Amino acid sequence: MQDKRRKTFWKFVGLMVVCALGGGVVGFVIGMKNESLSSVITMLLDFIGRSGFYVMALIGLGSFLLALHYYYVGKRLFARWDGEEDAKLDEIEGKISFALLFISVGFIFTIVFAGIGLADFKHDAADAWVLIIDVVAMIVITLLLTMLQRRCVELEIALNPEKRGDVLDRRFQKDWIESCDEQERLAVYRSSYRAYQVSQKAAPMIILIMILVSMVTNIGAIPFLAVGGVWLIQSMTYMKSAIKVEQTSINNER
Amino acid sequence: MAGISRKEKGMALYNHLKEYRARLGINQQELGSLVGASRQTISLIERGDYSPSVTLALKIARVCQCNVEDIFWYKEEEGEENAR
Repeated sequence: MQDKRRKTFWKFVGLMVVCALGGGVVGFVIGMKNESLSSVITMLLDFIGRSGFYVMALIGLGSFLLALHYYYVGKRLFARWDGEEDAKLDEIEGKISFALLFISVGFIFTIVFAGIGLADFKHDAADAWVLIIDVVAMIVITLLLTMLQRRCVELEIALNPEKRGDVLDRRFQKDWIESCDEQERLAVYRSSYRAYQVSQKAAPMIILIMILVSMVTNIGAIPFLAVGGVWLIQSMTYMKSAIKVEQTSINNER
Repeated sequence: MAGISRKEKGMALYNHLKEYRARLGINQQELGSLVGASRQTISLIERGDYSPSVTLALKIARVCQCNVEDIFWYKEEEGEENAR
């Protein structure tokens, strides 16, 4: 046991040394190539800002169309289902899952790139129409995705009548998880923990990348506060929930 | 053919749930409704991809009108048995 602890410790020290050397090399390169890196990053950020609306429209609508395709495939399969073949239902649920996946991707890209497009707005009265189009497009795409998500959930409920919840209701997530059985809740909890694990690694990496970029061009404090804020909320929510679960019986979960 | 769950280390959980369900003449959805589980959960249990909790196993046994051990049983895998 002691050997294992010692090995882990030295592995950690080795990793710190490698990271320090890597950081030194990157810092040196940034120092040497500061001007050219700065212009590349500035150009990239400008391009992303100007493309915000187009990326939102492309990926938002593209995700909607892909989700719509999977929804209709699932719906057709359900219409043809004889009510007995259980394996067919797994196939239909698979199609609905893909539809919901594309809807989630669509939501995120729409809102993020709408924000990027609006952030690039020059606050010039002559360009006010650009602002209006951006906002209207974001609302329309979000509404389309929301309505399709509702249809997918309704199809899921048709397959599994014990399920409850309306996507347009504030209580949807609560109602849905309460209507899930032990296996479905376990699947949700496992997936959530996996998402937590990945986010705990992704957040410091993103902050590190932002630190490197900020050495080359001014990005301000807002990106750090945004990522740090989300990281903090996630960690505190997890810890608070873990403490609550320890204090109450796992069988009486709410 | 028995469903086998190999999630527990060194222990395979077998079940004859599909056969018992066939004897009752009900589908997975109907059995799920009777025991308070979803169709998907019943499907996963039959395939051996999910081990039900004690509560759910007891409910299933009651609906099938038999003992839990008639439907579910486990066998230690040979490697683990020899190690002990």
